[in-house]
Amino acid sequence: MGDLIAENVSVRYSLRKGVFARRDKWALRNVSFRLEQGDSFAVIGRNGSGKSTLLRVLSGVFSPDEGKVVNTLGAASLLTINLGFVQHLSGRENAIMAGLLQGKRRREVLSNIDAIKELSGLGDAFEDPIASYSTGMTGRLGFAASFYNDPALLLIDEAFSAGDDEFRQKATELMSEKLKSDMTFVFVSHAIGQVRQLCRRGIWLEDGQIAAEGDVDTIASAYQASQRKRAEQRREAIAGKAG
Amino acid sequence: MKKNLWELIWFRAYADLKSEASRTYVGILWWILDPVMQMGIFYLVFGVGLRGTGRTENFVQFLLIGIIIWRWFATSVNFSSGAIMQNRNLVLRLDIDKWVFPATLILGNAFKFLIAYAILIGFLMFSGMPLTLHYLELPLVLVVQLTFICGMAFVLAALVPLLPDLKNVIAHLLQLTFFLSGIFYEVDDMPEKFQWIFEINPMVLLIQANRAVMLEGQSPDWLPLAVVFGIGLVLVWAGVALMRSLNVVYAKALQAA
Repeated sequence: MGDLIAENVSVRYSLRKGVFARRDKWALRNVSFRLEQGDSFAVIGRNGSGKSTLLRVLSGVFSPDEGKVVNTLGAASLLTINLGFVQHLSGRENAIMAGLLQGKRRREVLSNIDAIKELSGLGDAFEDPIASYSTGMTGRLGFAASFYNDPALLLIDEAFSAGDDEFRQKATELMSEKLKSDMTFVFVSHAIGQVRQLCRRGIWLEDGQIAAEGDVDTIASAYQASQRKRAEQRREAIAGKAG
Repeated sequence: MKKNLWELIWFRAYADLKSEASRTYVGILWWILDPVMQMGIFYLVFGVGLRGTGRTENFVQFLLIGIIIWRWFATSVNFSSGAIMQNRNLVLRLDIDKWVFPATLILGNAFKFLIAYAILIGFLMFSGMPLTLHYLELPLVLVVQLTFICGMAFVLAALVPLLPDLKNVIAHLLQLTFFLSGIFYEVDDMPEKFQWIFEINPMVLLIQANRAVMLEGQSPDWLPLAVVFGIGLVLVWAGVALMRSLNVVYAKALQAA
């Protein structure tokens, strides 16, 4: 049984301000948690709270500036929709591209291609250039193309907000099916409903730091309460200005 | 080497070429029309119109060989130097070997070059240049050039994301090297005290190797080409090593950019 331990992970961005001036900004500060094999872990928080940065650290795109991540689970991979899609290629070709980008061999992708076509529900449009697709169709192709990617640690960033309600429902069902296996996954979202459905525990990030951690219902409620409070403050501020 | 990466490079090069072809009405015909038009312009200006462009025999043929060989080098290096920045989206989402990006552009460019090269050889035959067994040596000359291109492109591609200003300098340096590569004139016609500039320029050597076979029906001078090949290999190694050691640095550099 492997696990993943994040210990005081901090990531700093250096922003360019003028010709030589730079300003540092901490995107993550002292974030610690532990994932065990089979965990379904949620990361919630507002835009710019550090969620995506955390996923980048876990997937190996960034290395932490301070602290460390020790991963004995195995390969981590980010499930990203439409990654590297090329407008002039057909749905089939883009599905192959997505598989190759995820590190698969061409023949592995080809062995799944009929299942991908089926799952995307695109029918004959699967052979057309994706430039002719609607946003929803592209999203369905993207989801289908990355669905058969089975890393030891799956990182999901707002993955299945694409498509219509029916597809979203189907995607959520498929994901929960998949997540019942002993795959470990980290799910990043503002869609609190989906988070509650898919995850057991997690963290709430605020300005790059952990604001709350533990049981998913607890952190989701705390997060929603803080969101309501912010909305109220905003309304008061606007009302104050108007008055 | 991961086999998957080669499949990825081939497929992405194919995707790039297909996209490029889909953007115009006649599509892939442009890969033939482009070099034909370019060569046509030089033929009109230097072959039919403005005469007296030096003492060089078969000046148009001489010039076209230089232009085609140079163009392969210049476009490959210029495009590839920005390859990692161009793929910002992928760099920020995947932990992927970065040399894949310049390699993809080099492959697509090499394909287009081969078409132009075939047209060039066709024109040379048509205009009565000798077809000799020495043509069999040309594929090896192209391998030397490809290695050199990869070397320059990888090293520059590795540095540009961290020093974006370098990209602007590269265009000007290429322009300068264009005039120092003996494309319009025989290197021997240059003043003696500047000869060394040409003797250490790999592009001069590569262009001369092609001219030796195509115009003189002679074997290229292999010793200097072997040196260029060696330099190319060292640069390829250095470029890949740089991209490996900077692997996680790129994402942050592009994130902040």
